[in-house]
Amino acid sequence: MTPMSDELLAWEGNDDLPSVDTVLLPSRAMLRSWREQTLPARRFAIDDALEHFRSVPDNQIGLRDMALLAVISESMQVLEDLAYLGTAWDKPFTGLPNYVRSITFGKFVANSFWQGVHKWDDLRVGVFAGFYGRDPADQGPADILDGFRETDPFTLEHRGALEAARQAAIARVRGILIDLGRDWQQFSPYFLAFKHGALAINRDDTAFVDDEVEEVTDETLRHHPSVAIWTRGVRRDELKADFAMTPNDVADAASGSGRLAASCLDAFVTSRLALVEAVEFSSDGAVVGLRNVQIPWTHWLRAGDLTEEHWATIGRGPRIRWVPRPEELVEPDEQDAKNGETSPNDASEGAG
Amino acid sequence: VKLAITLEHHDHAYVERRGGWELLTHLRGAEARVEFRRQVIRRAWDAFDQAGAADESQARVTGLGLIVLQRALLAAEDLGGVLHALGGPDPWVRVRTASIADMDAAYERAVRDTETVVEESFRLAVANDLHDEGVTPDEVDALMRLRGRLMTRWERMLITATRLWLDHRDVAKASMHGFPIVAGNEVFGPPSAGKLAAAARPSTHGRFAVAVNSRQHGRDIQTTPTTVRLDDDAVAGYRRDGRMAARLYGEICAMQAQSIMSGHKAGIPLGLIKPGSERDIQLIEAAVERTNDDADE
Repeated sequence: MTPMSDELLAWEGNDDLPSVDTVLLPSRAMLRSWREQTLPARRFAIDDALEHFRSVPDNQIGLRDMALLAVISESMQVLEDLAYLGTAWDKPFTGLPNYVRSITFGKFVANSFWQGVHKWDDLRVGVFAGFYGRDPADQGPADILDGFRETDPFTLEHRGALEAARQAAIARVRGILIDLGRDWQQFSPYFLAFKHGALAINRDDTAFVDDEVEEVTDETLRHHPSVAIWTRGVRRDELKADFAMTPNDVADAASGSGRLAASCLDAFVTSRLALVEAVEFSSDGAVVGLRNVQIPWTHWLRAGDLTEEHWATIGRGPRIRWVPRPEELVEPDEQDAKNGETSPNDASEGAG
Repeated sequence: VKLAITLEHHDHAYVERRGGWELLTHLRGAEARVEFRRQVIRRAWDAFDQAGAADESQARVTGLGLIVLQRALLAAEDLGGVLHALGGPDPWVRVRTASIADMDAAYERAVRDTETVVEESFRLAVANDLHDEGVTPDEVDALMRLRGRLMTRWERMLITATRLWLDHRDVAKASMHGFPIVAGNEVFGPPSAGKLAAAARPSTHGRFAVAVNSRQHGRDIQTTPTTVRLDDDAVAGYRRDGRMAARLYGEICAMQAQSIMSGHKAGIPLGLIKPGSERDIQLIEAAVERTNDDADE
C-alpha cells in the first residue's frame, strides 16, 4: 500500500475486505440513504405533526385528537426504524451483510426488540452502540477495533480513555434504550390505531364516566382523557385512553421520544458509516484507497460523562490511521500477503 | 371509568343490525378524520414542493416525497378498511381487524364489481325503493339521472383510489416498517450500490427512490427492488389521489351514518343535483319536500 495523501492510502486489491459488490457498496448506499434521506424525512414528520397539533384549536376536538395521534405515530415510527436497525446488527442473518436483516419485514420486530432491551447485557448494548460487531461465524461480539489488523498500538492513556468512553456510553445507551422501550409500550397501541383505520374515539358521541353511572345526563361527571382510541384487533381491552397527562404533555412526551430515537438512529448510522466510508471508491465502484477515519464513539456521551483528561485524549473517538508497513520490517515473501496494514493509534487526534 | 355512548336513536335494534353503536359513532366522526388526512397530505406536499424549489439535496427531497406518499396511503387505508368492513358481516370487527390482504380484496372487488360496491357502500337507492316511498315516475326518472351522475363520480374515485392503493401500498407499508427505501442517487451513484443497483431500475422521470422490501422464506431472503417515482408530477399525483381517497372515505361514512340515523336503508344524496336540468331539479325538490312532509306527519 502506498500513501496517496495524508488521509488516503492506495489500495492494491489484495487485502481481505468484504465483498465490494454484495457488502460494501450496498451497505454504503443504505447507510448514506439513512443519513441523507430517511432521518431528515423522519425529523420533518415529527416537527410537522407537532406544529400541526399545536395549530388546531381545542374546540376542534376530533381534528385535535387525530393531530395528537399523528404526533405519537410519527414519533413511534422512528422507534420502529431503530428496532429494525438494532435487530439487524444484533442478530444479523448468518453469512449476509447486516443491512439485509434491516430491510426484511418481520411482524414482531419492533415489539420483540423493545420488549427485550431492558434485559440486555453490556456486550449486547455495546453492539448496538457500535463498539462491537457480530462475528459472522458464531454471532459472538467482536471488538470493532480488533477488525483493524495490527498489534495494539494504544498507549495506556489511550486505552484508559477508550475504555472509560465505552463504559460511559454503554451506561448511557442502556438508559436510553430502556426509556424508549417504555415509551414504545405506552404509545404503540395509539400508533397502531392511528395508522390502521384512524381509530380515534369520536368524543362528540361519547363520554367517559365513572363505572357506576347508568344514565348519562347533563349533570353526570365526565372525564376527559388526553387521547382515546379503539384498539386495533379484537380483544377485551377494546379501547385505550390516557387520563394521566394533558394533550400537550402527551405531544411533548411522544415527540421527545421520537426525537431521542432519531438522535440514536443518527448515532447508530454514523458509527457504521464511519467504517464503510473508510473505503474510498472510484466512480465505477472500484476500491482505490483506504481513508483515515475517526470512529465516533463519544457521540453517545454528554460532557459530564468523561473527565476532561479523557475528553482531551479521546475526542470524538479512536482515529484509525492507515499506514504502509515499513518495507524493511517485512520479509520479502510476506510483503504480498501483508500489503495493507492499519494503525488505530492516534486517538488523541480527536476533535473533541 | 367507562365509555358511554351518548348518541340517541329511535330504534336501538336497528342500530345493532347495522353494525352497532361503536360503528355508528365512528362513522359519524369521519369528517374530522378526513379533514386531518387532507390537511397533512397538503402539509407534506408543501414541504416537498418548497424543498424542490429551493434545490435541496435530492435525497432530502425524495424523503419528503415519501412522506407525501405515506400520508396519501394512510388515507387509502382508511378507505380500504371501510370498504372491507361494509362488504361483510360484523362491520365494526372488520374495521378494527382489516389486514392488507382484506383491503386488497376489497379494492379489487371495487374495480371488478364497482356498481355493487358503490350501492353497498353508499346505500344508494334503486328505482323500486323510490316507488315504495311514493315518489312519482317522473320524479323517479329525475332521481335516477342524478343517481347516474353520482355513480359515475364514485366509480371514477374508487378506481383512482384502487390504483393508488394497489400500486403503492407496499412502499407505504415499508416506510412504516423500518424504511427499507434507498434514495435513487445512492443506488445509482456514482459509485453505484453494487448488487443492489444491478437489480434495480432508475426512473426515467426524474427523482426517485428504490424500495428494497424483503421477505424471509425459510432460509431464503427474497428482495424485489421497486422503483418509486418521486418527481414533481408523481408526488403531485400522490397528493391529489390521497386527498381524493380521504374525501371518498368521508362521503361513504357520512352516507352510512345518515342512513342508520334516519332509519332508511337507502337514499340518494343531493350533492350533485346542480349539474342536472332545471326540470330535474324541480322534480327532485318536489319529491324531497313531499317525502319530508310525509315523514313529519
